[in-house]
Amino acid sequence: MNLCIAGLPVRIESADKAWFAGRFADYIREDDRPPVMEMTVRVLETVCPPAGETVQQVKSVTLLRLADGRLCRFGRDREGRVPFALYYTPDYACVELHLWAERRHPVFTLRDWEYMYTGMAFQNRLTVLGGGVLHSSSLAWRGHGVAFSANSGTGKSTHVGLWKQHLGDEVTVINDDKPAIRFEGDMPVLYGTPWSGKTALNQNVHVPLRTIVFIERGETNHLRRLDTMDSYCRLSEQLIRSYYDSELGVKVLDFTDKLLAAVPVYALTCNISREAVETAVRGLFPGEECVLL
Amino acid sequence: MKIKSGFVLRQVGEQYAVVPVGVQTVDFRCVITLNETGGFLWQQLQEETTPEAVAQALLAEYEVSPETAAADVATFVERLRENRLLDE
Repeated sequence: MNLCIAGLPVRIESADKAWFAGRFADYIREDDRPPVMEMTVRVLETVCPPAGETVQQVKSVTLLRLADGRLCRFGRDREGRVPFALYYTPDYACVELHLWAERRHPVFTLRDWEYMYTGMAFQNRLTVLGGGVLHSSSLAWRGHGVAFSANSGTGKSTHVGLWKQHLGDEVTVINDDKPAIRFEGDMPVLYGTPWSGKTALNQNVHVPLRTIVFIERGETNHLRRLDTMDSYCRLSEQLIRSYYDSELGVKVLDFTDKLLAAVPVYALTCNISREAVETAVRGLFPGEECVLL
Repeated sequence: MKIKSGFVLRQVGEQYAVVPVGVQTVDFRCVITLNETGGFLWQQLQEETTPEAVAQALLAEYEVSPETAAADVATFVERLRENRLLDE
């Protein structure tokens, strides 16, 4: 599949072709630009780790450097079997994922693993290219991009759902879990990607990112601007960093600095109500006239 | 002694933040915030050193008494030790 994700030409040869063709349909491209990233997924009867120099051991995951310059990351289950091996060039431009066909997990299917690992590989490539992925539910309203971030389970998607409910068709959900952000000069741009967590709520659209809002649960509704250090700490917790690549981690910190200089960051204490949306929209965009449904 | 690898010191406004990267992110999710002096002490401890050498550096940079410098460094080092941030 030739895809355009976050404005980048990407090629993915998936294993579950029918499902990926459906889930990624909005991102299929017809142009002939050379891809900045190629991913291939193979489902195998047995996944065998290659020979290589051990770079790092993180719990059950081993990172190897191979003779051809690539890296390989593979896991072992309690029985010593290898459920996955991810081969990649150090710049993540070329990625090959091997999945064990018999892998059983109480929650995730083989398709879920394929979806998650390809998403993680894309995040890494995007970071190398100067972008980032913010754990957030994000929307576009009247051309303004807003990312609502928080720890999982706080109510990001619920709040974005309220915007859709009370501001109607003017709201587009860009990505319900992990939107991409890239800079055009000094302006951050929010992009939909096909990797949107538990839901398929994403669209292949992009808008300037105007603000980032950290959601906090509360009895009443209140919006406040965060100071620089508070913004930095919260962003550092929600901008995705790889466990296995310190250099990439530093790039995420560079990206954090740039983002912090470009957009205001707020905290919204809110309940689940129409008033929560009103508090947010009037506080974030005081110049915009709007009537809530 | 020195600070473990995998922690990056960044200046944020007039303060400093220490952020884990790579494998340190697995067990250490939060960000450490430091004032200007804390940032200075962290910088000294990024290379192999001793509390005495760090106290000397503090004396050279700030107008404090030798006793205060030694006590401040001891407190800072102890906090790092408690949080398992030092290689010794």
